[in-house]
Amino acid sequence: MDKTTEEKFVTLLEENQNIVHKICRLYTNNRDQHNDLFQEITIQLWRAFPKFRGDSKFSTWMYRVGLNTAITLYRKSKRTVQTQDFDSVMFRISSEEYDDTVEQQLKLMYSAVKELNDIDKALVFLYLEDKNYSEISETLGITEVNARVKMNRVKKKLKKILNP
Amino acid sequence: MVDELELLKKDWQKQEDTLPKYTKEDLYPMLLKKSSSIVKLIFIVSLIEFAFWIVLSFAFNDNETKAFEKQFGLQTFDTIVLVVHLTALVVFAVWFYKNFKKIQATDSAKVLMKNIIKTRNTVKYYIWFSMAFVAIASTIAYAIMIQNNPALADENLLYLSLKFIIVITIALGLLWGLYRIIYGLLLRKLNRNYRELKKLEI
Repeated sequence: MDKTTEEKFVTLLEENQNIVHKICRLYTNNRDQHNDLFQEITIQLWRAFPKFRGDSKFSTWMYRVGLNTAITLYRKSKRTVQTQDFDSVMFRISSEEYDDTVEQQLKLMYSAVKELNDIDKALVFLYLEDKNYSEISETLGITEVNARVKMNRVKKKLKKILNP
Repeated sequence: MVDELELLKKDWQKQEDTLPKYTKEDLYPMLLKKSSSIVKLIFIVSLIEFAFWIVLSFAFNDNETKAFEKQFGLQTFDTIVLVVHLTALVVFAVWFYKNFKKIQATDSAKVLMKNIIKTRNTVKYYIWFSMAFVAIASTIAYAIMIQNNPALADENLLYLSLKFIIVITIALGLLWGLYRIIYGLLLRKLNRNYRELKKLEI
């Protein structure tokens, strides 16, 4: 591919890289795996880029390729212990905004999300990213009704994990 | 619960500042790296499997085997076996390649998984075909040998046949076990996730 295409792609990726980082945070447990998955998603995006016609937003297209890579294509190359990332995902909780109970609740929620299976994680991820059910169903390849039903089940599952 | 999820959503959307930031200089070299995806691995493993059967077809084509074939009247039969097997190989290889080309990371998760499983299945069918073919061809070859050399049968037909069946069964069993392991390791995660998505349809 020529230089201009490469430049265009890298510019778009740089602007939208947060999407990829967020997927990596959800599906990996440490910085090495995070970088590894980021690398693989970048390769898959770059490969698929010639087929990106701009009829959908670049970000929408990234969600699909990114999640596909995390759920299906990516192979964890290193055996690692469950660690951090989701502690650091307790992103920006400032004491003025949240009290201790809320912080505790969030911490529990994040670790509960981490315990979900890959598909449920994708569903929750798209929900957290404020995607509507039509987008969720298209990304995963299920019907909208099934996406809703599944999301309700995931909510119940999370509730059970939080209140055993 | 919904409230808690809403709280999580609010918090989730505030994480931007804590995410790593790559510059263009960091991103460019990433485009040149090679993929280590499951599709690539499946492709390589499948090629090895195809190669294994091709090598096996030709491995017994030496002078010693030829003399053996002549002695037991198996020349014509062995040529037929070789032609049928190579034709099947070409058919399966083309089928495999066509399915492989259909794999796109831009499809929905379900279609992507389905296409990968389909691609992998073409190799699985080839292996089943090959194993069945080995079993049938060996049985026919054995029958031809007995027919052309009645002296063999005189020795002890039952004992000889039993030995033959045991050897074939063990060989096929080992192959089958090996493939189960390869499949298990390669497709464990993918199959699990595909099942999860399929469950939603019920």
